[in-house]
Amino acid sequence: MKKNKKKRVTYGRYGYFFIAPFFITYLIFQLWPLINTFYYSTLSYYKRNGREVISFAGIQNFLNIFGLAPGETAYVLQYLKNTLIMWGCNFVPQILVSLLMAVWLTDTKVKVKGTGAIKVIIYLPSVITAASVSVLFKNLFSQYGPITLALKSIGILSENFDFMSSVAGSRGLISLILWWMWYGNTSIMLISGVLGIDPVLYEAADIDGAGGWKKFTDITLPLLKPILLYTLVTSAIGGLQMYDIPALFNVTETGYQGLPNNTTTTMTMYIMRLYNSDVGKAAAVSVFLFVVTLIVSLLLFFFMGDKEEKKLKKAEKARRKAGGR
Amino acid sequence: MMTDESYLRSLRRKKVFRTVVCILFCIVSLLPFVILCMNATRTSAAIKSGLSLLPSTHFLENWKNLLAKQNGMQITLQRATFNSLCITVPGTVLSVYFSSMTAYGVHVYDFKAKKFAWAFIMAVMMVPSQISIIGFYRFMLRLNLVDTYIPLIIPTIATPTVVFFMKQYMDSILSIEMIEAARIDGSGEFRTFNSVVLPILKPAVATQAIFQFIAQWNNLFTPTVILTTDSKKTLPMFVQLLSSNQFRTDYGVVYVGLFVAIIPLVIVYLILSKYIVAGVALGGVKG
Amino acid sequence: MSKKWLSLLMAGTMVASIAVPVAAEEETEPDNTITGDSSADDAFVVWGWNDDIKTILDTVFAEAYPEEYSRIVFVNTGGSDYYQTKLDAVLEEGSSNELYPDLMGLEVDYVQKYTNSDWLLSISDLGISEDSLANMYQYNIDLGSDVDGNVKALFWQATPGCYAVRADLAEKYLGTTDPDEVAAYFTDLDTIIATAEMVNEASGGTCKLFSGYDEIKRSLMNSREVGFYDENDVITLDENVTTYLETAKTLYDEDLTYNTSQWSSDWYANMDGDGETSNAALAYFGCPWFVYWSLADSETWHDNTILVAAQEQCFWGGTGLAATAECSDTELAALIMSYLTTDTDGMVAINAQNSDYVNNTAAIEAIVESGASADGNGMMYSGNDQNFIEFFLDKADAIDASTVTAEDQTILSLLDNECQAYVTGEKDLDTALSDLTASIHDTYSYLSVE
Repeated sequence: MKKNKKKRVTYGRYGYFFIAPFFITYLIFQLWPLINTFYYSTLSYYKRNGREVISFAGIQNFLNIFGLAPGETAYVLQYLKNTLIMWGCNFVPQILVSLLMAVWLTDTKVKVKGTGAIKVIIYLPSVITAASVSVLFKNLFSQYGPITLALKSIGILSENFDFMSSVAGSRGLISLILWWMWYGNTSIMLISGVLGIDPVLYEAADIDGAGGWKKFTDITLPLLKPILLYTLVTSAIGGLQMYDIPALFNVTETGYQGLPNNTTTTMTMYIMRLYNSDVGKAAAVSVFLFVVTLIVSLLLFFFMGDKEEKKLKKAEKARRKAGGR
Repeated sequence: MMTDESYLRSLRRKKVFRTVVCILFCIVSLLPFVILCMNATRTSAAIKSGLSLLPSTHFLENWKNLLAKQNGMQITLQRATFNSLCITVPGTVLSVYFSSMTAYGVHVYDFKAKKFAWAFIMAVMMVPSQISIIGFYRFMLRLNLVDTYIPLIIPTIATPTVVFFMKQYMDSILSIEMIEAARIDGSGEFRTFNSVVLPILKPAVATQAIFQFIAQWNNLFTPTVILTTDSKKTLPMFVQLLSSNQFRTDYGVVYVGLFVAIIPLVIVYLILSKYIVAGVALGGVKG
Repeated sequence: MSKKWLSLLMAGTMVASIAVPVAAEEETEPDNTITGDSSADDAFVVWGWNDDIKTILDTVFAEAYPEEYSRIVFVNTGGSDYYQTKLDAVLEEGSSNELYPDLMGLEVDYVQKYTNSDWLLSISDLGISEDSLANMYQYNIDLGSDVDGNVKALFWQATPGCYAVRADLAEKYLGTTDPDEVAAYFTDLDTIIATAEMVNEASGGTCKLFSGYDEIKRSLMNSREVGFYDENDVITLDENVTTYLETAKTLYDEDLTYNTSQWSSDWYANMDGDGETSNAALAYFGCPWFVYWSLADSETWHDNTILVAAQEQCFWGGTGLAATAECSDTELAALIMSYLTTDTDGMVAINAQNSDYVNNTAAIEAIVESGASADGNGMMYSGNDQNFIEFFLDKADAIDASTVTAEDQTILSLLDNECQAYVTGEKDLDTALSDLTASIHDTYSYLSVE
């Protein structure tokens, strides 16, 4: 026994060698920049005429971005609101459609043909570069875009409607793109969630004479709750970082002002607008984004009290998804 | 008897209804690609005149126009694709290799900081890289690495999500006996990892490589911050140019540009779709 | 996966990840935006956002100094929107970058940012005496100087503003091509609106006075009495900003323009419309370079341009040349700058090349005397005897550019956003104005509100 233990200890140091590249890289390229970002947020650090002007500012940057100092406007809250609206309008239909797909495609009584093909097709949009998708949709829905023209010719849109100058039109399209890209991914996750439910439960319900809806509300939904919560939180974290799609969709020539009138500007677009000219403010916005993200993550851990590993396994999936956003 | 028949009929009706709805969703998912392909073959004027799902004959003409417009630019579609490959291929290899290594380190060895290390990896999985971009950019500036590919490639060594996935896979497949057998054969620890363990991990490595490739290929945010020289720009950054003044006067050119940026990805996806969809599903099992 | 194969792959990856950026730098693909070989030892790099400077170097300078000319490498960044971003990155990197500019073009809207930076040499560093600037228009000297009065950027052109009117459409809708009579339609904003209504009505909407409501922006913005901020860095909005928003709204509400934005493809398209089957704009805001650089691209405007004074005395744009702090050859920089911006012969030659209104009163006198450029490179309507250079004489003398700030380019684009929101009825006037102030402060935190 003692010998065995000693052997383990000898090999144990290899553990450090194996994990060292990861940790060294992470510390240099992620953690240190993160710490620096916090530090920068306490500085008044901007450029004027190509010269950097740096001084200590305490919490002034935060007072400024929240509009608490005289003459300041809380743009960051406005952009957070934009972000949440566009994310929410994508997430609700996304989860509803995904639930529908999950129930239908796993139904053993009413078998839909070609389940495999359907999965492949609805997942397809999420592997395509978000930047390309954004530019594609912008062209499809621009004033002379084929879909706009088609909708006008069949009378759904009025003759002089323009998606790009309409707040609801622009935001709605961004939500539509997000939905279109990600509902397939969520569907597949929920399908495997439903497949993981013990069939015995459904058989028992059948014997009790429960209908489809009752089975859905009494068995499927409660047992899917962990996955659903997981999807919610991870999608929210991804949504908060929303960048590629709004940044390329309907913006000014010099970039990062989401048209019309900044109603499609997101938090990360704001950071991008400032990162080189006003480091202090950009860092403060980043810290705020970090805090919001942290709160959302903590909600997750709060709700997901059960086995750690299981939940994180799913996190992995959704993180990939979040990365794409 | 009667009820059975009506029950069957209602089942069949349901089946037809559901199939139709599913087909509709498939159409929604595919339609933009179809329009993209069709418009890439039409002239600018024809595109402006309305929606058509029939191909035309101007694909090569549009492609030539694109090449002509690119002629005055430092970055071209071909070059951007090449640049993206230069970043994504090493990035994918590094992330998958070192993540496997990290996961292996945590999985196999017992060391003091093991618990902490694992908790750390799982905690930082939730931290999006966008948040530290300010510090990242300033730091790279100080290291003189701005406008090089190093800040886009080297950090992939630390990809927590892949570590997590590999660890999960090892938990289910890798037994300590296997490793001890290799040790008895006199194999060193790193050799064991490279020549015994990695081959066993092949299926997971392949899946993760695909997902990493997609994620890094599609990345727009970090390259936008790091790369300033036109000739170094990546494909997503080039796509951004497609909606700028230089191109947007000619719709045919824009669509053909998007076609070349998107369709190869679609084809590769369709070839690998089995693995990809299975990989996604894996994440959702065992709810 | 054998070990050999794997280690090979790993090694390859590591090498690739380190070598690739270097390789990318070295194998600069042949392309048209960089003209010349930047890797040559004696390469002299000149930056511009279009080919205006290049054209002058290729012709006027090449002819006078062929040997020096052969060393010039020209970098065209393709458009002015991202010019500052690209330029700043290279300037910060310093001369270790092969493409670090030795000399660069700077537009009026941001020249002050660079003259007040540490990135430029002053002309005294270059050995150009202040006396040699005697023939320049004073406003251009002021624009090229930093706050302490050190001259750093030199301009080769003066840029008095005007309206360029299309003669065939003027004949049709205004009933005259006589410059004085046409000018009567542009005397003040009320008259301009009345003219716009008249043209719109007469054509039934296929011809409008302007392509977009922003056509009046430059005349109002470049005739302000106060800059966008005062000496204490407090944001100030001139009355002209309000006037611009209100006038733009009238033009929008009454559908008097096609609501295009300047430099957009639709805006260009309206230059060439025939006014019957295709939409056309009767007038564009202009200046000397606008005529030879932008209008000249449109065949329609050749022998078809009438110039009339803008309703306000104003200016538009202008390019300064400046040598950078780490300039590799200050002598050559001084030579180019002197020849193109202070030398009377050189400037007469520039005019001969493109008909520009040069920044040199002696050269202008000589040009008027010789009758050169009278037809504005063939742009002026030959049906009347309007002289292209003489038209601008008094206008150039009166230019006052004291309101220009380092941040004008960005602030003017912020103004465009607010203007769009106001004319479309999304905001009322007060909100648009206060939002403009707020967004200026948001972009430049050192500029304060009140």
